[in-house]
Amino acid sequence: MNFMGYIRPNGRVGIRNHVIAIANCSCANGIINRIAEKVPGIIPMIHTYGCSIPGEFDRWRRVLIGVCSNPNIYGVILVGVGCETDDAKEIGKMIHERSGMPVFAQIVQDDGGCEPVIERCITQARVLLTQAASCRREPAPLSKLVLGTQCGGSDALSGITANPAIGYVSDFVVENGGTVLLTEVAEMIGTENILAERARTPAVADKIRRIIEAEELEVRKYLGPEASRIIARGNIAGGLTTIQEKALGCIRKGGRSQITDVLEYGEAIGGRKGLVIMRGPGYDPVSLTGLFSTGAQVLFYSTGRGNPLGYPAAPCIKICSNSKTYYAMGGDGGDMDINAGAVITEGLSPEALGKRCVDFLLEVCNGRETVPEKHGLGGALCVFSASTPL
Amino acid sequence: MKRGIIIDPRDNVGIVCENVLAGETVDFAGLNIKALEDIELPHKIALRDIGLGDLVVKYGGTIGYATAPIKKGAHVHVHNVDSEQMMK
Repeated sequence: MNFMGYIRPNGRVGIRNHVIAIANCSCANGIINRIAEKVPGIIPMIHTYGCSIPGEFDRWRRVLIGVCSNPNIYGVILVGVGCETDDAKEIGKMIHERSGMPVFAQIVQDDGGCEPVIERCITQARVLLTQAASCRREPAPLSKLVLGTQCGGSDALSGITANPAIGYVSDFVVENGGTVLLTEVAEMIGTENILAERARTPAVADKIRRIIEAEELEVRKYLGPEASRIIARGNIAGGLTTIQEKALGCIRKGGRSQITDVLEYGEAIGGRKGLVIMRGPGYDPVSLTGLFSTGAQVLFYSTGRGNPLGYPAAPCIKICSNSKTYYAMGGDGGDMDINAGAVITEGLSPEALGKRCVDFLLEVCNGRETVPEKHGLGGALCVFSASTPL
Repeated sequence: MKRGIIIDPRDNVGIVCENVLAGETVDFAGLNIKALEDIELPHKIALRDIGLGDLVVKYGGTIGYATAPIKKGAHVHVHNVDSEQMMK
């Protein structure tokens, strides 16, 4: 099965064709804002940290390069200030080597100060946008698709309606040779044996157990005696009985296929196919950045409370777990793309909902805008992981 | 008749899609289960008898074990199911 995408120099396929302006560290964020003000159509991406927080450096470099190499991006304007740990022009070269995309990097302290840098970036951004406009969609096999899954602002129905629907989509993508990412490891606690049994090899099973056990230790360290409240009283009132039940509802987003590998946060997906676990926290903006950095072109995001979050350069499909929230947030044409609550309130079968979600995914791959894209709710945040497990 | 859903064919519990009163029948796409007690949306109902210590299965996976015998049609929750991890 094919979708219509933008074939990039390295053979990867984008479903969007963005030009981004991104900061090499948070000290360059103001410059990115100035460029974005002058160049409509460019996507500004803000760095949320400085440069020298111990223990974060390698991860930030990996994620910055990963984010900029995502095939949804045609070209990159990268701005550093100069005194940060990583050299923006070196990073620019690495992005170009990995993606083959045009990268224009500037360093304020080397290139004449802020105003000339901003001027040059504006000029280059306009050039890149003009070039990007001449790109055309071409047929590409579904095996080129990487789907990232996420849940946020969950409620008692998330695991019953919305997450199984995403799971249906995940199974469809895997059956067609594509790749699906499951993450939010804190929410897998209690399911390590279930997930390990689904591993492709004993080595993958070991990795799965290792990352979930490490996460459980971290959670206990952070929450201490409160750790058992990872399943909260509200969860219990909503019908969730055990941590395993809650976790099974979360991991259902990945569907039922074999787990082929485990990735570090934001690690390049490379040639991996099938269902892959990405190590990462449940915090949504951090998690979405990690998924995008691995190479996910599209995100499927379930919410019960109605979290409207999108992502700057990837369509994020919002699936609402219940009709009450769906209609409270505007119903059809409102803040959510799909109402999974119809399974409960309208007698829609879970399978019919799953099929509807697959159709929606394919339309989005071919260019249909998701609600966060239409409403400009992608934001500019590119939250690189800090050392937090939750 | 009230409606319910079974998430995975391996499950021995189902979800009620609306609040159910004791004595009412819940239809799981053709499988009819009579509720033995009041069960709120979206809580779990036993699809068959579950013995003391038997595994309780939802999503095709084990969510815990029965801490008491559970009759078909009974409410399944913290009063009759537990797991050993992070709950105690």
